[in-house]
Amino acid sequence: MYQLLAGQNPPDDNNVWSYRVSSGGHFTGWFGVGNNSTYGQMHGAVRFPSIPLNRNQFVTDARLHLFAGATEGAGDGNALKVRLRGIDEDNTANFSSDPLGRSETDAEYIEQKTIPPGGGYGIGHFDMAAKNLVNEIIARGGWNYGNAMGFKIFDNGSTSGHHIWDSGEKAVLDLWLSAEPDLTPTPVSIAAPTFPVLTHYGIRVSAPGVDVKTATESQLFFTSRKKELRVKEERVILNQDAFAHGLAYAPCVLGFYTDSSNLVRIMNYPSNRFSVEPFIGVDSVNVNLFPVPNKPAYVYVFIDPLT
Amino acid sequence: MLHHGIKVSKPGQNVLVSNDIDTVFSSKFSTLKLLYWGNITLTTNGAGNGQAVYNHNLNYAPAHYVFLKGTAQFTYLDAASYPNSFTPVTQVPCNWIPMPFNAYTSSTQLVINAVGALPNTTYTFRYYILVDRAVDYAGDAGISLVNGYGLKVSKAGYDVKTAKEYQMAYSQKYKSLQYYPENYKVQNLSLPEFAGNVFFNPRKAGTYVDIAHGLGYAPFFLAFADNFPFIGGVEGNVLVPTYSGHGSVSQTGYAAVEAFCDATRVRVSFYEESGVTQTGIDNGVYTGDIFPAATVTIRVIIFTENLNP
Repeated sequence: MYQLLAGQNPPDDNNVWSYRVSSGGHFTGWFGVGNNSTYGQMHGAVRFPSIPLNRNQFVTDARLHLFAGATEGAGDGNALKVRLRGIDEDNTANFSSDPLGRSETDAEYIEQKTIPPGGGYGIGHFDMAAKNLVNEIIARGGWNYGNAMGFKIFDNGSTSGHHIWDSGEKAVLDLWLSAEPDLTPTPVSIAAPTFPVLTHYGIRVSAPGVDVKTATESQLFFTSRKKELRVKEERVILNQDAFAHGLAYAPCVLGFYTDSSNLVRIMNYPSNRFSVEPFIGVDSVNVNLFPVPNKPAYVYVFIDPLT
Repeated sequence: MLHHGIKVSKPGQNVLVSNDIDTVFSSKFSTLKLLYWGNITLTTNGAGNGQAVYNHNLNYAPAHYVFLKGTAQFTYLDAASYPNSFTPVTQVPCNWIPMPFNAYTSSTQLVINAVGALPNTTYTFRYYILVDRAVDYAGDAGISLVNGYGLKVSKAGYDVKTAKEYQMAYSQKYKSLQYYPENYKVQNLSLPEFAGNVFFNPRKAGTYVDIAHGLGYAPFFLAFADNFPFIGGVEGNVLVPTYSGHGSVSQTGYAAVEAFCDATRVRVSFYEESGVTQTGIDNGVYTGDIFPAATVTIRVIIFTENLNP
């Protein structure tokens, strides 16, 4: 996949950390960064228990997303000043102990952010660039796929009354391994065919009341100039059954099923469908009916090939 | 191999040595026989519900096919809209022409239902009722054996003089559903691997093929999708439209192959969508179903039957 997300699933109090500079106290299970008007300057840390990256895999982009349950100073531009560093460890231990004193990556990200509104996912959200931090960590000799990765987010001089605050348990690390592929490939056009010229040999049957000698194509009930679907067999099928069609190719098939109200419908819904494919080594028509109806299905197998 | 009956081979082929598959007609095989066809409308009430009924009185539920007429538009894949388009009526949602309709036959009627469609709106359908059965039935048919002239071929084991109408392999009383071999088309449609997530919710992917049919009118068509990505794997040659939900409590999404036609083209699209629900996000699920890279082979038979005469 070109884009991977790492979260904190299951959410764990030991994956987030918040530290109040003024008092030296911390909150386990809560994340906060900025300058709280009550508690003063705060730093925080988040940890992702399992990162789906191999050593030296290299990400083309990475962003650390935080969803703020509550904020102070929402809407104030450039008011949240943050400095981001990775925790430079092979496999970051949980935050049952203070993570802010652990060694840091050389890579750093500094930015001033607009304070988002509170409200959690979809409402209060901001993100920080983390590409260089991630690449530095996964280049470590001891890094392995599925190891834990952590980040420190320092307040970098926010003015009082500007912070974000949340349980932090919905933090997401957004990792890009390559560019997004083209999700809307160019549509294909197939040109109109050239039909065989009108001929006057063969069999023609006109509609009642229409002279077959002068009938237009639309007035014909049958002409040997064209093909039609020819029935190899008509079969009554029980639920969840398959039968060998006996042809060396996948044939055209149509089917009808009777629902629980004795109403007869064409088969193509996922729950009441047929498919034509190899089945246990035999080329077969497979019938899947759900919920189990009262009556069997009725299937036409034509000699006309699909493949 | 017995050589009785009627055989018509393809142009340029010796009928005496041609294989069954190379014949354009053979009395050895029965064919689909159109009995009743035409337009039928329904008008919905204030809740968007309504019904249209055609009384066929055949005493058995016949094979049938219904198309909805409407303006086709799916802006994710194409900003243009296509009036006077037709798409099959099934129980499957449709991105091109909204499909709050379903159709069925009973032993006496063809019924088309609207459930939650636009209120107080008249919809037009093109219906086809065949002589051929959609159930296992051996009783008398509600159509008499009049018009004893013309060409009739009974199915093997049945006396053509006394066979019931649905026991006929061919009868010139009924219209044949025919096509030019040149209007059997095959095309691969491919989509890359992708998944939706909390930041792209849902994420979408899709493409389509436009098959110019050269008929100058909207034609009856059948389309099949091979290697269609159902949950847990792929399935072969399923009838279009087809739809496979990939959702769960935490994730949403689906894959669909859909089609419509107008006077110029038969368009078949392959579309996938992947997302994640709020419940999933609240429980730490941030990524939707991963759709692997997929190639669906579309096979289309375009008949010369006019849906919009």
